Amino acid sequence: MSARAAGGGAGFAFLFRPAVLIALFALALAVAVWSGSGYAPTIIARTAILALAAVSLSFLIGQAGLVSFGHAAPLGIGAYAVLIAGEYGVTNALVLFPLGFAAAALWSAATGVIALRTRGVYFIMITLAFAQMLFYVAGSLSAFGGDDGLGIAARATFFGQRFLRTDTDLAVFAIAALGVTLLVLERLSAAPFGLMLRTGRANEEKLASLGLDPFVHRLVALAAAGGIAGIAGVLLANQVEYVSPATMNWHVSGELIVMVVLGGTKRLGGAVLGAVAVMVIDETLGHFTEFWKFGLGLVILGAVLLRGADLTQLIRGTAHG
Amino acid sequence: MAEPASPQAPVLALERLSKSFGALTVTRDVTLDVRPAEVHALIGPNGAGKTSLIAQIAGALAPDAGRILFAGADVTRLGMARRARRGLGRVFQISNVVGAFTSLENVALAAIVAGGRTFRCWRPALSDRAALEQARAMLERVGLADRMATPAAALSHGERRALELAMCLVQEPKLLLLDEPMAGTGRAESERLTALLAGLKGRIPILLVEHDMATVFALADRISVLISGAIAITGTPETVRADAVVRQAYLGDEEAV
Ligand SMILES: Nc1ncnc2c1ncn2[C@@H]1O[C@H](COP(=O)(O)OP(=O)(O)O)[C@@H](O)[C@H]1O
Ligand SMILES: [Mg+2]
Repeated sequence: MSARAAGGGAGFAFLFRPAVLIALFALALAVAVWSGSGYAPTIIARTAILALAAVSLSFLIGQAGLVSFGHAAPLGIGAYAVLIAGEYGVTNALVLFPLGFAAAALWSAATGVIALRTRGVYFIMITLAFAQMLFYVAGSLSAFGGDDGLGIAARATFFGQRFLRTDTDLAVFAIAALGVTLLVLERLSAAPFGLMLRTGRANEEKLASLGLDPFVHRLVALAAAGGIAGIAGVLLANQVEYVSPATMNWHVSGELIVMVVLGGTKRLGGAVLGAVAVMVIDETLGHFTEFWKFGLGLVILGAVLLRGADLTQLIRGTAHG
Repeated sequence: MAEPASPQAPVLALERLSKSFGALTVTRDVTLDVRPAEVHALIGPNGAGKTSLIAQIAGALAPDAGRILFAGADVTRLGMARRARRGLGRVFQISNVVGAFTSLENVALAAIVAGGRTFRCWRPALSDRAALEQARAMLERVGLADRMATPAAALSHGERRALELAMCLVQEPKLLLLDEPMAGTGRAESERLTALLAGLKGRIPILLVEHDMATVFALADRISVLISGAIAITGTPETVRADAVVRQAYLGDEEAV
């Protein structure tokens, strides 16, 4: 950790740069479109969307030391915002995105007020419990399909214009959102706000002795990360055109953590690489064996062993610099 | 609530403070004050409860009974951060800087907090010129001018104490709580630190917990002796040195004293 947001590192460090990541995504999409593949743009869109959610979680874990095991909740809230608004005839993107962001941020802040009273493993458990609660609540919404979920009325529009007609349109939009998010969160991390989060993570007592209780900073971080996951949820609902409680289930939260851990939390770009890795494993191993999650498990185990210290310290909440 | 603070009113007053960990009483009915511009030394054998007392004053540990008055107001129930904002500066017995940050970054961090600029979201923290200027000046003042770019973890014991002191001083504290600043430092370093503290004497009141008797007798205006959580005696260095009980219980036959 350093007072600067991004650590150095040679070799493949350039891969973690937002500009490089976004350029690679754009290149992949261009190749996919040029080759005429119908499936590839869908995969690219999904990857960018999940990367967006993973990056917001990486900000929480890496900067603030808040290991949320309930990040699927704000993702699901964003998705449900699309479904519910659609049922009431609202499909304007200018409503859906702010709505998804605000609803998810509100949820994260409200649950955060309680969750932030705990540390380490207890924080993990309580965020998980809140998310599972929401999962069951969503399953009980019979007007919106209950456990099975429901198809959305239509993809988001821009004053009647259907600007997300294809998954390629959606991928362009998701990649842009990812780029903007990386830029904003990197600035936030390097700014005094991020410095306070990192110091609070490394040495909370010292920060208090300097006169700062980082509670509000953490709450803002939770709300911001939740809001971004909400945006990812809005995009996800538009891509799948279907919303169900499964989006909020605990294993989605788990997969987001896996993406973050695989890529490392030192730099936000790591979560993007982690998301790509999980998607690639999913798409390759998934075709060969029903038990691909076992393969993924092995990869995760390897990653955790390699970067173990980082995560275990975080979970214990004793990552003293 | 806050009585008008006359120049003679103590900066810090502990009134009948008590604290126990189960059956172990670490603070026993302690009444003590620190006057403006005074260096008040707190000495006592290991385990006497000195660090526990400092922790209660700083707000890290809640007393079972008694009151803590700081700058004329009752702060007994305030949290650590709020006491710090009111001007309580603390240097820990076990160095408590952020090891991965350089000296300059550590002090700049303290300056950003002191300046209330912690919610800035766009410009990089380390482009905060005012904070960096303040940090550089303070590091020069504590003698760390040539160690600014060194990670705090790579500093010597004495240098880390000086760094903590610098982080404290940018907050412009109304009182300094120093817990064994000389612990683990060599002779030359402890002499440098003593000189540094001597430079602060008279300008900032200090409550100094210290084992090193040379430092204590060089700096203290008054000395309190803590034995098993209770104040055995408070007085001028001469009175304390002459006290038979203290000699027997604590100073023993240390000829140097
Ligand atoms: N959190 C705690 N829980 C239980 N006992 C403690 C705790 N903190 C300190 N003590 C005990 O209180 C006594 C006083 O400790 P301390 O205040 O550190 O003394 P000193 O700084 O004078 O050496 C010691 O016996 C120590 O073991
Ligand atoms: Mg001690």
